[in-house]
Amino acid sequence: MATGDKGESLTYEQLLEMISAFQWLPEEKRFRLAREIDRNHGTGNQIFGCLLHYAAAIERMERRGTLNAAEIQVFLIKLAERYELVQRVDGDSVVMEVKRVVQAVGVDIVMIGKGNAFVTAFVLVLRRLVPMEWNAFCDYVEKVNWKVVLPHAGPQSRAAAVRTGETGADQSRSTLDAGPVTGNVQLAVETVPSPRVGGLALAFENQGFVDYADSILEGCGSSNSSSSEQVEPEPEQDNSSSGSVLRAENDTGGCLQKGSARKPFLR
Amino acid sequence: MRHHIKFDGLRLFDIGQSVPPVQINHDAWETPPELGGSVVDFLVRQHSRLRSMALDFIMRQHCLLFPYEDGGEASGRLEALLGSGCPVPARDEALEGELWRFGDVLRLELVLKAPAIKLVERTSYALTVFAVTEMVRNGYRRLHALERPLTEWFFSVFMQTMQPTQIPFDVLHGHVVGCRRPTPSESVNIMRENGVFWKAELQSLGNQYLQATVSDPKLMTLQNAALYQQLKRFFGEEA
Repeated sequence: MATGDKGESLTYEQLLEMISAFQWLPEEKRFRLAREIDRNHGTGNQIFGCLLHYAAAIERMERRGTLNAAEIQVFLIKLAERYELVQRVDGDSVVMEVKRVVQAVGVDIVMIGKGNAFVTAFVLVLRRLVPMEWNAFCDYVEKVNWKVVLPHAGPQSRAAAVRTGETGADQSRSTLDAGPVTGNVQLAVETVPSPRVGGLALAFENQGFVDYADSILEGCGSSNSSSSEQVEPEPEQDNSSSGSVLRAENDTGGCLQKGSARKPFLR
Repeated sequence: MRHHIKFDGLRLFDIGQSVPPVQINHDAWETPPELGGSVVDFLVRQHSRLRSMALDFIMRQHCLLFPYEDGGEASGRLEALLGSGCPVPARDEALEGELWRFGDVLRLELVLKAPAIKLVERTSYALTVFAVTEMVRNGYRRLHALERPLTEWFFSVFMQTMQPTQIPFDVLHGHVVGCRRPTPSESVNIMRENGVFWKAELQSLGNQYLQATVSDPKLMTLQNAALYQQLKRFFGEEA
């Protein structure tokens, strides 16, 4: 299936259900699942809030024809400033996951919906990287059957500890506190990647990426704004005068000042 | 000739291929006029409705032959036969990849993985017809595969292959132990006593005899007809 390990495996039907759930509804400016649970903001759950922003961005990229790994990477950098869990995701891993989704479903990506495929892929990456938060998300959106089967609390405690900045000793204690340490625990802990292993954390160590990002982000260091959890779906901006960060790159290669007043999560 | 119709025997061997596109009354079934998303999204949301359509079609066809099986009990049995509880193991390794052999035969995976979906117009009506037709075809495939063991049993009943012998022990024992062959009139009586079996058996043997001795196909046809007439006369069926 689209995901690999035992506890992570999804059935074909569950994958299709996810694709449908993350179908973007242009008239409502949110995905289907958000409509089903009738929520338009991400205050109650980190992943849900993150997805509201991500899905909207994917829709914009798709509409402009700029949906690719580099664009997603740039967007994820900004998203990671607000949602720490996104730090461990990069554009390439999303694109790789898209390929796996398309292969697993067995139809052309156009039939899945390009946006659906990219959002579903992002969701699956998060599902693999942050299983505990993912399960909380499943509870939040009442999709219990999407949950990851966790071996026990050990790896989750560790993952949570890493994210909350605990020391190594504290992390060990968290794992131990969850139950007796066994070989299985160690193995499971090792499967939870460190936040320094890859993804956006290392992106700026790649000179090629730095050059590319500079060309896009030039002059935008001051695009901070007050943050708010409330996601205001961006107004349709087909005229290039009020584009987002990504659009600015597309249109002018540099005028990102516009984004400062409009994107609460782009600090 | 007004219409020239060709029948491809190999295609019809797969019963699924014999199912034409299912006619659907979209108004009655309330097919939405728009997809409202991607193809996959549409099919996922409409799956239970498509499934009902496919089951309804199969039930209606079944009731043409068995009008007394039109209730909920029969529908339940049909669903069970098409469900994951009644898989059909492949006899040949080459057939193991056929998805309709296991799981719920009306699941969406089979529709999405049908090669012809690439050619379907991406409208709600066209996709509905395609999905329901594909489900019905897979349902037919499953049902045909499931009925095969019973068909073999029916054939063995017809051919009386389950009988230990088609000859009375008295006659058989007399021949084997006593080296005594029944007279022609006794033989005729034994065969007429069990005419269904011996008629088929003699016809089969007669055909083998003709195949071994006659090479001209036209003459073969004539000889076959003559053989059949002779059989009827022998068993007293001639009008």
